[in-house]
Amino acid sequence: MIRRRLALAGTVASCLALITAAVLFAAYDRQVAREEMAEGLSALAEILAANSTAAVSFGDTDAARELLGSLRLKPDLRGAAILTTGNAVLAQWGNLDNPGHGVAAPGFKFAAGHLRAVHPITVQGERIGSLIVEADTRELDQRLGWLTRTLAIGLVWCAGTTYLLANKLHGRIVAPVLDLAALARQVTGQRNFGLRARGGAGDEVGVLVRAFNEMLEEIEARDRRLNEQNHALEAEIAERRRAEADLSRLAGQLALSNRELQDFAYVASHDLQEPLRKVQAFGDRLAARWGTTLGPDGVDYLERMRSAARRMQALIADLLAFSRVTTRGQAFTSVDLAVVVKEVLQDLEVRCDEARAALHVGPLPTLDGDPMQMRQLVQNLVGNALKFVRPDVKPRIEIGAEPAEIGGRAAARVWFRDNGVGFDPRHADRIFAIFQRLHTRQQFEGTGVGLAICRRIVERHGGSIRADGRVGEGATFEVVLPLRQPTTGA
Amino acid sequence: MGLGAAVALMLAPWKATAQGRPGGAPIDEHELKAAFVYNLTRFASWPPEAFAAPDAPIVACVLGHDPIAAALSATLAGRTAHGRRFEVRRLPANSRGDGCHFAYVADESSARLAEVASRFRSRPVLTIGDGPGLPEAGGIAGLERAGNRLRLAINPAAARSSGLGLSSRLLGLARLVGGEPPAGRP
Repeated sequence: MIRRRLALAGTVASCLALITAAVLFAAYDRQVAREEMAEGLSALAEILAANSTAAVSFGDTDAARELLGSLRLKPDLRGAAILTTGNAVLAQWGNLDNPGHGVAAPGFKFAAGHLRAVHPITVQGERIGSLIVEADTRELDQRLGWLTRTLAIGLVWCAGTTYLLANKLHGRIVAPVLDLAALARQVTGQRNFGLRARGGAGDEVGVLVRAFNEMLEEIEARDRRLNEQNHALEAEIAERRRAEADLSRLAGQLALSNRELQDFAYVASHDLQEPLRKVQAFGDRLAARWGTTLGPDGVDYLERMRSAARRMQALIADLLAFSRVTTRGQAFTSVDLAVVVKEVLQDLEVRCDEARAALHVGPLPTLDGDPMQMRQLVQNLVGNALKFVRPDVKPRIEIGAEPAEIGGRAAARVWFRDNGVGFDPRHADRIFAIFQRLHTRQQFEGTGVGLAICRRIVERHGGSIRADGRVGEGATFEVVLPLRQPTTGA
Repeated sequence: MGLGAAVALMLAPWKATAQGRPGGAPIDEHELKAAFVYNLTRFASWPPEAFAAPDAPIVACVLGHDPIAAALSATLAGRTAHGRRFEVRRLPANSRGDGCHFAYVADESSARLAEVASRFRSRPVLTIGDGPGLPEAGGIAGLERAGNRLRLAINPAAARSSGLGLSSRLLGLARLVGGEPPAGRP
């Protein structure tokens, strides 16, 4: 295909060059021949004119005829005539049409089939007549025809030879390229990058072959690396799938045991209340009826017992509340945090007034949540802020919110900042664990369940909670909650 | 071709003159001869010493009473040859013709022609005889009738010895007459 095209292009180019050269040569040859002919004829006319002066002067027709008669030795002449100034023919030889025509303008002129040269006959500068010679130009035309035929034959021969030669030569040039093309098809068809192109000397085709081979090597190496990486990746994916399966199995087991634990905690704490109430009831009765007879030590022991019972009751209540976060949770609905905060502050109004606390509440969003739990969250956090105050510092509590994101979903970051006793930031995570307390019972009373409940509420809502603090400077609790819950979204 | 037609061809260069004639009458034999004489001067050359000055005229002499004198005067008036004007003189038949450049000799008998030829011998005077015989007698040129046409006869040897040059083209047209004049006749 490419070979034939190349050969054809070469042939066409050669033919064009040949035709151009042939046409130019023919035109040049014709021009030269015409010029030579015109020159020769003009010279002949001049000689004849010079030799005919006397004959014209004396009107010697015989001499003039004799002069023209010598022209018979030149076979390419058609005819000649000697004219006087009145364009009358003094003598004529050969076959001449209209001898008087164009005599006024000396020189030569080509006409159909002949060339006419006109030369004035002068004696001492005076024109006394004209000499006309006509030559046959058919030979010129024949010569052109012969030339054209020769050139045409040469052209055909050249074109044929060029095509055959170009076909052969181009075959030699193109063959490696064709091999390369076939190899490229094989490579793409079989996806076999181990194949290599052969041949190619030190010319451009050789460069092409080498470049192609280098490219193949590169591709082969990449293919190998890619396969290796693929295998590694597949192994890794299998490993991950296994781990994931393990994880989900563990998560399932964990959820099961968690639920069992919660149920256990609920049931236990619920069932623990009954004997505790009996301890308290009989403790009260003992204090009321037998208090005076027990003596000072007896009363002290009784009071300690009753105090411990109260504390246990508080612990059980908190434990119940903690377990209820998940076991007794309500459905999510739209909750206006501003309203929640307002109600909580109203409930805590007495404590606020006692502590003379300064409250700053910024704009708060409305979000999907469990109303009771939202209220408990706010209550626990504000309660903490009111509890862990520094004795000599007027409490100041700031509540605010700003837009945030959880995994691409719109959320709200709500913060509760106080200027209380604060805590060591190293314990920032520990304080959310159940029953964990940073302070003694003597410093601040409490069971160590409040923040654990807070975390459990936030986690149930798909959010997060973190604490930041510094000893003696205050604490900040940040709660990030999604604005929309999937279960109530639509 | 009759004489009239030949004359018409012959005098084509003077056609304007001929047509200027009253009535456009055919040119007669004298005028034809005068034209021959004029043409002859254009193919002949004189040695420089034959002229007194560079612009001196060519003096055409007519010896004896010949009607051609009038025709010659008319033909040569205003014409030039070799850049010189013409002057026509009528001289007696026995004149030596000093100062003449050519001498037109009227039709004479053969005996007289020899005498005339010897009178002008070796001088640069182009002698032209009206009628045959003068070149044979040692003169230079003669106007002959050939059939119904005029023809030149020339004696090249006589021209050579008189110091005159005659164009070979002229000689090509003419009937050439050979031989020196008869010996013992200076």
